[in-house]
Amino acid sequence: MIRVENVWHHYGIRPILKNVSLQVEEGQLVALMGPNGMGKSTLLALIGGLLSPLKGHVEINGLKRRSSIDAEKAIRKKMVYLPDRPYLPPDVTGREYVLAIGRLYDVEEQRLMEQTDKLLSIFDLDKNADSTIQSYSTGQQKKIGICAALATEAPILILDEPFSGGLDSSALLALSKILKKLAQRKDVTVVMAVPVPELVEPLAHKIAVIADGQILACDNADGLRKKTDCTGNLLEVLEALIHPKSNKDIEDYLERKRS
Amino acid sequence: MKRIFSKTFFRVCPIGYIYILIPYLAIIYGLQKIFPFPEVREAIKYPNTICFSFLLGFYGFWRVLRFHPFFKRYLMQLTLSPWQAGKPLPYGPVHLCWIDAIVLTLFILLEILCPVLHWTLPLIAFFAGYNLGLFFSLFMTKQVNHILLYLLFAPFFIYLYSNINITLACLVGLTFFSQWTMYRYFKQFPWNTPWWTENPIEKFKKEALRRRVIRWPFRELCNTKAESNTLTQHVVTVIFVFWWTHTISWFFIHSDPEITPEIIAPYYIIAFIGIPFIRLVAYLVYRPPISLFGRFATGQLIVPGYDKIFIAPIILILVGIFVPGLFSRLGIPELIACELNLSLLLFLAIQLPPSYEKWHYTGQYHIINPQRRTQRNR
Repeated sequence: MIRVENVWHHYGIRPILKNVSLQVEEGQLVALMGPNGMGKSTLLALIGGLLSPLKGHVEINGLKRRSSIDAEKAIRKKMVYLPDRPYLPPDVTGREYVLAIGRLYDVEEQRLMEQTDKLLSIFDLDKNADSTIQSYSTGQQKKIGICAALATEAPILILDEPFSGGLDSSALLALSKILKKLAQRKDVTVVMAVPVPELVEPLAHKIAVIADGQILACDNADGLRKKTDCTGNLLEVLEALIHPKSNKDIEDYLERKRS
Repeated sequence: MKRIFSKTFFRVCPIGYIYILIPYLAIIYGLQKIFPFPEVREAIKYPNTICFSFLLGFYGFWRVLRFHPFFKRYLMQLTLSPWQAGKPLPYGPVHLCWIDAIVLTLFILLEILCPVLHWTLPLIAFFAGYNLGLFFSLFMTKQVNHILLYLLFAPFFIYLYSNINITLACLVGLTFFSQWTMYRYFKQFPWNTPWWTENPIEKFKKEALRRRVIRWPFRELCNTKAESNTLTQHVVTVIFVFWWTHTISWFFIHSDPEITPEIIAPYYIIAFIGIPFIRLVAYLVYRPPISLFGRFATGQLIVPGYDKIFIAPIILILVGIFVPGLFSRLGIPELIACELNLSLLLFLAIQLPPSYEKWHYTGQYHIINPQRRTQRNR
């Protein structure tokens, strides 16, 4: 279980997160959505352990992050954090990289080899698996990062924009299928930031909408529809939540243009 | 006899030295013939001493490195063979043997033809090289107690520099000690070396981290940070630092009458400044959670979870300023006061909280993407 309690965070003057609280139960898949630059990645980095909040705290399975050596070690063993653009070694092959990350999480060697082969094949990387990463395209680099995170078999996955960064349609489909299967498991918890509402609705147990450093709502898609009195698709629901005046603004803009 | 020569002598004896010595001796002989003056005979003592000392010193060092089974491949071969402690090593002996006596005698006889500054100097070089090699082997085989004994007694040779014969006697004594440590080590065969006991997956992990296959953020968020050393290890380290700095200072003061404690003391002051600085830099590898500008703008001037790393350097600076004066008031000579203070600073630098391990796992810092050089400051 992940619990974020009254977290405040700012790098400089402007607060990025303002008194944010979020609870993700074990076995849930929660998608963070919201406009750009509103704190989604910061919140994920705080949960993932890259950042430390200025106020408040983050708890993973009842253990407070960075409270003691043993607690932090236990958390790190159970959690994998995949940023939007991980730092990939250019002179290492894709297979070597995935295996190295898997070993870091003590995945049994034989299983790791098999799972790596499968993942590379799923993401259409089997032909390039033994080429160095510097020869990969942007999309392939994104795929290898995802493969590495999945190869760890960590029960808690923190994924920052896994669907963006040049993934092709087959990879998008493969990743959403994998995440859907993981979402059905009771022992895997996923928190991810996704900018595309269409991808989120069939996957997520809950959608947390962040805007201006605060969580505006955290519920499933139907719950959000009820809250906004909007019966349209998720994009419209989000618009109603984040930019309630946007439809009127667009009409005004078009009206002025005509006149 | 023929077998002994073919099996051992040609392996151990530095036959290749003939190619260096013959031309060298020819040049020296020629010089003495062309310029048959006592000044020339006196002057060539220096190159002779350097040449012989270098050759014998290297021979002593090579004796250990060539024949000691601490290298992985030799060790594996030995462990898989029916070799037992007490039997001769397959590639030749590490301990001193009759071949060494022959080599040393030959060099002493050469000194009759080519005079050196003091006949014992090449011998000292040999024993120093041999003991240095054995000291290296102790590191490789992780014989900590013997390493400490070496470190404890080694500075005595600097104390005895004024009497070359006593230095030689001490080195011979140390050589006997090293022969004994080697005897004990070989008796423990087969050794429980890390190469055999290490988990291959752990080895892969270490290798991947060393080769930087694993990078941000997996590298920073993994659990492989080394555990802190114990208090005993820190105390022992500091005692040896004091002992060695004291010896080195003593050596400089007694080797040159112009060097006084007042000349050496400023070097200690540089160290007093350097230790807090190094301690601070070591902990500043991680970024603060908020920029300096952000601190002023938000009024949150102190972030306790991060700023605690500044306490130890401040204490170290204060100790560096005030404690030497305190030592002087107690009547401790200036130089010893500096040495004591250096040791104290070092002890505090490694002992003051938070330990590096604790800081790595519990510090309130940011791990930033190294690809993004500048921190966001919104």
